[in-house]
Amino acid sequence: MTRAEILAKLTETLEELFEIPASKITENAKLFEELGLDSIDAVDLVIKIQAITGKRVAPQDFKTVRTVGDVLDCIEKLLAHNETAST
Amino acid sequence: MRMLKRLWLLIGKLWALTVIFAGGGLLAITLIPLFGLCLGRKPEHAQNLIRASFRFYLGMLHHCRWVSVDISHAEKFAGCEGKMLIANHPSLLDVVILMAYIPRAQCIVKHELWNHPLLGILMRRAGFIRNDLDPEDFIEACRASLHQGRCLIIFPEGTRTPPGQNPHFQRGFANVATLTNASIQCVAITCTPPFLYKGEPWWHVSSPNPIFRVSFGKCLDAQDYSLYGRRSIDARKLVESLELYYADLVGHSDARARA
Repeated sequence: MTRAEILAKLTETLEELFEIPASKITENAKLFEELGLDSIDAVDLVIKIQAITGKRVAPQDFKTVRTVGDVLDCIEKLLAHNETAST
Repeated sequence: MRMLKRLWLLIGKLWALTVIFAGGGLLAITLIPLFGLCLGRKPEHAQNLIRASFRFYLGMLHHCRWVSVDISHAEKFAGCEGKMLIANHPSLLDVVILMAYIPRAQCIVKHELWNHPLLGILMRRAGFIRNDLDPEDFIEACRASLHQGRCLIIFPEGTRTPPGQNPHFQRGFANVATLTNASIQCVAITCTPPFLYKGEPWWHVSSPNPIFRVSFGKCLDAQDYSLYGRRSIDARKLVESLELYYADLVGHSDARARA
């Protein structure tokens, strides 16, 4: 998956879970200050990401996440790990 | 005469503030250790002690004609076991009033208070929940205390709202509710004239003396707010609907018109 594809999927997820308008979701958008997420929402989001990727997100990886771009980095890392594991 | 009345009210206010801050510390180093030695360290003992102290405190304010508290259907507090109780938050005394009447009150305390050298003893002994736990641990602590039949008090505003403004709710209480399926009992508190509100200067007194009125609003069960199939959306809609509900209960028509 390319980064753009992941962003599209993440945008869809954020809209579905938190009713955030797609227009507000950019790489630099801050999850907590600008998109109105809270720490419990972050837990919901992690569970959703785990369901989509089929990979376990380490809590310490998500603790430092602040922006949509950070979430993309985190998912890319998970998927890369997936590919190395499968080859 | 008016000067004397104002002076009396000012003495009352300063006394009320002193007792609330020094009294807790005093309990923590006197009766709490004594209870611990004689009766063991059960949280119920500390809770009962806090409740009795708050009753005594309100009684003192009442008998000196400093503050009156008028609760309609106080017996309903006994029915709040295992429920979440939310209230608006106009005054510093709100939590004192609720804890004086609720049999098994559970509170969420700021970590500053939890770590306070004296008051922290009281918080820990009463088995209260600190607000800086990891989200999962925090929810589990809330769930456990609801299961134990304690009444979880939450002020959804997070802090006192100044007079003349409509309450604005944070989402925390709705997260706890949607994750634990708790029933939510709404309680409305008004205080006229405003007393110990946010930003009130310490020397400010208003005559006549303040009267607190506490009344029970609706009680929501999990099925009343689990409507959208997604917890995160349920929590957001719950905040919106209860904000509107409280604007009607305790709000100000001018503030509603502006909103």
